[in-house]
Amino acid sequence: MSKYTPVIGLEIHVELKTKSKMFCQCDADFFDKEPNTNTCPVCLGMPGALPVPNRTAVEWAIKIGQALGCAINKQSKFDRKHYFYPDLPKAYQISQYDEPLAEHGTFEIQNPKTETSKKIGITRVHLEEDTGKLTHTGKDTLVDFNRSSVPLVEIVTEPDFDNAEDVKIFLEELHTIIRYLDVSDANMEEGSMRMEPNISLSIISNKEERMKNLPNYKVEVKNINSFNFAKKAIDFELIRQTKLLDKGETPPQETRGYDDKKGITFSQRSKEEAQDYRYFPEPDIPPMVFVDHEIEDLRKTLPELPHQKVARYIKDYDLKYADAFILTRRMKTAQFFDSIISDKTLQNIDILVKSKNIQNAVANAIINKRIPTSISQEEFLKEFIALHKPIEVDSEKLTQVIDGVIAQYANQVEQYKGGKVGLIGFFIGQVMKEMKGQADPQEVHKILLAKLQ
Amino acid sequence: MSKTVDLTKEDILHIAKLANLPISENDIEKYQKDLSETISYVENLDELDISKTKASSHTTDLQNVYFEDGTEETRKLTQKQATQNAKNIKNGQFVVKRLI
Amino acid sequence: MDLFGKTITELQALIKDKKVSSSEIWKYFAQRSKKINHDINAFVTLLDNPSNANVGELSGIPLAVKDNYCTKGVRTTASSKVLDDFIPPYESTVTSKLKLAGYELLGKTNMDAWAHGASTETSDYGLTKNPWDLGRYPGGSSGGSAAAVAAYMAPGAIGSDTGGSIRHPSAWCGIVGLKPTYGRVSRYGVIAMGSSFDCPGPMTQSVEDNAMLLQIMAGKDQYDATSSSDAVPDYRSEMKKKRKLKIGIAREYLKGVESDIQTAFENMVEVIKKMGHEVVDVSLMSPEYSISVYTITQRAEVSSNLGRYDGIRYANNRAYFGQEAKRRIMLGTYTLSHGYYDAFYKKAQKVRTLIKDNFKKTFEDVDLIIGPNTPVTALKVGEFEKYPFFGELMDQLNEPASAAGIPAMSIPIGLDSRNLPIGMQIMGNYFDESSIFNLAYQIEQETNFFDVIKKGKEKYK
Repeated sequence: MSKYTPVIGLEIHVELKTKSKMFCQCDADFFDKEPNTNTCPVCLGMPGALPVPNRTAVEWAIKIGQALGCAINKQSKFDRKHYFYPDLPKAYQISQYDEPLAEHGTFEIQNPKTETSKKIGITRVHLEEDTGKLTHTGKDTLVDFNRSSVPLVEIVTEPDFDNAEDVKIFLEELHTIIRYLDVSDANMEEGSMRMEPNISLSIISNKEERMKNLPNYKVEVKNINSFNFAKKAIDFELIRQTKLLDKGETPPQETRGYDDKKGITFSQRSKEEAQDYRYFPEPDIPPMVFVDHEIEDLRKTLPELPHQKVARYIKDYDLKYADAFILTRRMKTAQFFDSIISDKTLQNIDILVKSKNIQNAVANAIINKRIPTSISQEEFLKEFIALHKPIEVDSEKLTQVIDGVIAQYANQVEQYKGGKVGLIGFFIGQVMKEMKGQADPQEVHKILLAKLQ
Repeated sequence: MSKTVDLTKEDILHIAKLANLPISENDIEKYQKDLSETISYVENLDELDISKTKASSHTTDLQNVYFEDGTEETRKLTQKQATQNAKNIKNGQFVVKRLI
Repeated sequence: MDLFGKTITELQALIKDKKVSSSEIWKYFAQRSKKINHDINAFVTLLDNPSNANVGELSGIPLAVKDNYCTKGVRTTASSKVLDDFIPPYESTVTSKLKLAGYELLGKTNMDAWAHGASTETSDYGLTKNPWDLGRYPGGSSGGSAAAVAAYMAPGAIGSDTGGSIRHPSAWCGIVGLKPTYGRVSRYGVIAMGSSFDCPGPMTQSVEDNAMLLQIMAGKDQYDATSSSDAVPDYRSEMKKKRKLKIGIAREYLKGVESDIQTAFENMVEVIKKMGHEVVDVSLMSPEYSISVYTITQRAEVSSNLGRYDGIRYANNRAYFGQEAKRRIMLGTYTLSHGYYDAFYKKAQKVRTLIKDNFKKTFEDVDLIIGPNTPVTALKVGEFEKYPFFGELMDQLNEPASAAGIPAMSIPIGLDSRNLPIGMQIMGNYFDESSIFNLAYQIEQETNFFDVIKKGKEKYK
């Protein structure tokens, strides 16, 4: 039992797939374009250029906030965040400081294996612009601004995580939600979702106390490109920090990079001196003011979210948690399931299912890929019904076939009678094969038992 | 009461670092004097009662100004236009001394 | 055809009546400018050839443009060596609109580098001389534009006003200069100085020219989120209406003003009364507070806006910044730095609200407010050293309108004992340039500005 409890908070950036960039009308899709061919005076930070915000980006950021249970601020604005770096053309990033679009959310993560849930606090959700891309080669660093000013939504969680597995679950759930909202590809490998954990260890075991007295250091880890690496990086970091603390040393407050080949984190730069970003309100962009009905109208456009679907499937259809979870990983699949379930023909038809109920049977068919979901609703229903049609058994033929199998496999029958009771399965199999599946295996079993007495 | 601001040499060097400005040793004293003078002047704002006043970051009453999502070619720059004013270009990219 | 001294309006009429061609007009001003620029240094860049577009109401009439407007394909320096070889790949909205109206770019005028100043002295391309006395400053920061008009190198010019930069040199050079309401004219393509203060505006020989240029420049721009959607009135017809106005004078604005200026102003007040307008006393906040608000806020914005000049995508590196620019960047950085935001920036923003409210309330009672706009007339070169905190104190009477965002115009109201122009400012309510044009036009009709503009040009005939 470790004497330390991990204290982990996450900072996640999601690249929105709007048509145009955050503050100009260049294409937000910069993938695979020749360097610096997707820029304009605004995103290149030319003298005299001015930003104008993309309405859709604002709406989508609000929706992400709503999906994470946040309150939407009726007054919001952009601020300038200053620092010098070659990939930041204006030497400030237009971001949000003290009046973000969304704040104070709570999100429940479910562990599908243990079927337990935990609440994670969402500190804030805000909108900002992306930077250019750097390539380091030889003695130079090259800069390409095609990506400059693409909209980014930043999500910050409270340091509520105390293990790496929960972080992985959260990231996967967040990815699913964002795909449901259809606002981003949220792909960590491609960079449309980026994540940096802040990690420290506390000696306080009580959660409330621990949150009131956070450790006096934290380590930020960068360059994590997948959910799996996130877990690995955090686990590595926790071990590294434990070793230092055991020696009586406080881990230095710093930024570390993750090397996925070596499976380690390594020191990048000291976070000792916190950056002074000199935030002030963006004078080039008037404030954003929202009225209640606008916020409500946006909320109404949210689809039923994965965790809501899971809860509904369990409650209304008595589905197993694990099955509900699988069905809801992609919204398309869940929607397909929903449409099948609510189909009138299915509700009226008289078929026999082995599962608890029809809904479970449909779930089963989808999850075990017995019927593909790539076909149309009608075709799926046809196949489903066919699958569960009560089988018309020709009892005369069945008796014949059973007798035939007993005769054919006389040796095995001898062995069966001699004690190898497991062979009954073999006989059933042979009968079913002969009958081309057109029999009820349980019925066959019964008859065989009687005949082989 | 006027509180004379005493900006130290370290303060000036720190500000210059934040501002990414190269300043020479000789100028430091001048900056100390200039900044302190200006700051003393603006202390006159303390004479006013602003306890109940809201801050104005704009003089207009504008709110909610956006453009509708959608690409436009009108302002798009070619690679040549984007890079034509730079002193150091390689394969269409801007060049700086290696950072990492 | 003797073109000397003709206003833009008069030149338009000549072109329309086919008394003179656009190319003759271009040649005339191009030649004059080249010659006179040796003495005055009003232009940083002079164009060799016109574009010959020949369309629209300006039909080829050349104008001088301050060198902080991005003019596509034409060098734009903001009078700083940082941008010594910068050629913008795009056009500012204002010059685009002028292009559509058919103007010709005569050249880019000299200014205080980055618009930091009230003398044009901080330019990295040498001082511009005041056409009235070559040993004196023209004022700033739009000093080159003001001098170009005053010496009739161009029939009109475009400048920008952040803390008085159109009004101040217009007063010192004896021409008509307007700072429109903030947001009336698009800032897109104007090299940013104080983002919440910058106002592009016209500088001309007559009120009608000024109204005509504003008409072309004004209006909502989708590329500038701070530009107003308010309808643009027909300024020239508003200007010509026979109105009787209620005009306020704030005694706070007469403090510390040279006696010649005081006399000229009192004189003008009598003229205005005789014209049948009502003149009343109003009380405004002391301009000293506006100086502080302006100083803090503008320098914070300047330190931020000048961050992009790192020499990577364009421009020379930051070592090329002049002393004044560095000073302002340092102060701005300081007031925004950790721990000081509340004490400076936030405080200034709150006082800014007080200044706005003060004007709003006053304009419930009067149509316009008039007053002197500079404490002294054009100073001798070198005399600025005498004045501590120089730029700001020179602009103290201009900075309240800048802090509030209201429109204000400078018109000449006479000459002082040294034969130097004296200006007066007319401040109006938000988006009420019409009333300003109206009073200014009436005064011009009544007095011809005491022949100041006429006399100024004569030296350069």
